[in-house]
Amino acid sequence: MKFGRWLAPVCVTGLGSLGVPAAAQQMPEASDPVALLQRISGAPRNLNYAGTFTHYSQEQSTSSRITHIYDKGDEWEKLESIDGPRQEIIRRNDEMYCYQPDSKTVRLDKRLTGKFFPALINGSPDLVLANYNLKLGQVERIGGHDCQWVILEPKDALRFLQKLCAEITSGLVLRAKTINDRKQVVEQFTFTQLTIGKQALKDAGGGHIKSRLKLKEEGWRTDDSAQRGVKQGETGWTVASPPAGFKMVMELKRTMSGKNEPVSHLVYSDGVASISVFIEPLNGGAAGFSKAAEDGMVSYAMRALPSHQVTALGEVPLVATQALAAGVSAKAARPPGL
Amino acid sequence: MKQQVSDLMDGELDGSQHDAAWRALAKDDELRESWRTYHLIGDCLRGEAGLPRQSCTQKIMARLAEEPTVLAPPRGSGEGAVSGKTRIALAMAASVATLGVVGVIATRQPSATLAPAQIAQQPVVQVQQVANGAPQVNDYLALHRQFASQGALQQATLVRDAKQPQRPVAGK
Repeated sequence: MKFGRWLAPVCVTGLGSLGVPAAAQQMPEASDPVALLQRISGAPRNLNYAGTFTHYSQEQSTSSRITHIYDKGDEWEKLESIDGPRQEIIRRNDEMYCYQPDSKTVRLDKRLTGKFFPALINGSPDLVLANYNLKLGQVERIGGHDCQWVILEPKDALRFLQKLCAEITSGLVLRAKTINDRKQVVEQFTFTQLTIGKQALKDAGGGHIKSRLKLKEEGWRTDDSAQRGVKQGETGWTVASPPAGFKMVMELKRTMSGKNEPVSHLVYSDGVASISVFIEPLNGGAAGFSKAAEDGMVSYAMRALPSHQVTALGEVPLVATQALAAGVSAKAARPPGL
Repeated sequence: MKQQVSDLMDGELDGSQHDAAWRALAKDDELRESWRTYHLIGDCLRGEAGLPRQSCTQKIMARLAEEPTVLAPPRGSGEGAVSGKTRIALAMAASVATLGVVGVIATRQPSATLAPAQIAQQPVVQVQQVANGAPQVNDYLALHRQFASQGALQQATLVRDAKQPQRPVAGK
């Protein structure tokens, strides 16, 4: 490990009962779950790192190269696809520029709901700890870094088990697994190579994040429809009693290609997992669907209202999406004259 | 090259070797297939492949069968040319096969409580329900995960439609 070797040895007293080898170094925050979660959720944002990671889901894997620089309060990130169609994403905080060489298009978008490794924990430690029991696992070596397994056990059947292996000194998540109630890993991210700190800055060419693509010469076009079509704010819809532990974190209306009217989009999070609910007007008396299914880590529940179609989906067990879809209702209209 | 794929998976490559291995993987379908097979084997061994053990074994066997170079050394090279790592891959596959058998036995044993293998076989969802809804669901899923912005990076997550029946949550 290149960094942190000079740091003072870390206290391991009192943790032997958690099954951690006595000789292994622990994270400094090991005995304080709130501090530990703060460290883990802050690390992917305010560190410099460069590496390659693989995402596994449903027997498929895709790999990406990531370079992340934190500079004067701004996050800069470059994500390049390694397999599949060539693609680059440059991100400055929540603004994303997605370069697609096949269509010579730069798409502009805002980071809203997407799951972007290694920043997997977005909720406050209090929200996370209200829904998951935090336990420490083994210290392991991944890609030349020592990391501490942090296990988030769901307190109920509305969410999946999460296992994160956080690099000991920085807290950066090097490997993450989502495990369902049948003990199957339904999604996994893992770094296969990683440098953190000064070396990463050097690898990133001194901190300049920019695309290698030649945009002007090749006549690229810009598509900002994804960004332009989104309006955050009240939608007129609500979920009276969302599934336990889920809080609404976003509410917006968005246009979708092929749909005449905007679709309402509410997002609920338990601090780790999120569920989106879409409410779409049904045109010309079309009948809605009522269906529900779970496929790997994703479940969805569709419910027909008299003039709207409700679809809830997310990386949660089916009971959670069903409960959320069932609770959707129009906000009470104001009585006339008020 | 397969050796490098295996080393890459084990985190044994650094610097230029690492980059070269990724470049090779990006270009070569067959290498990517090996990469996936190695991972499947590892996941099966750890019981983390998201599959009942029998299907796990069958899947690995099917993959290995499609990958002649894993099973047989390249033409013209002697038996000694099979790399150490290839042997490990085969040895691992053999262990998975054993686990598969254990799984079958566990399922057949009468028991007052459900064995884990039996729980895994209970249908959790009604598969036929996916039929008409799936294409629309995938549009929404793409918005939820922001695929437009992640593109190929995470598309493996799409819900499958009716023509490709869902992976049974239950083993059939």
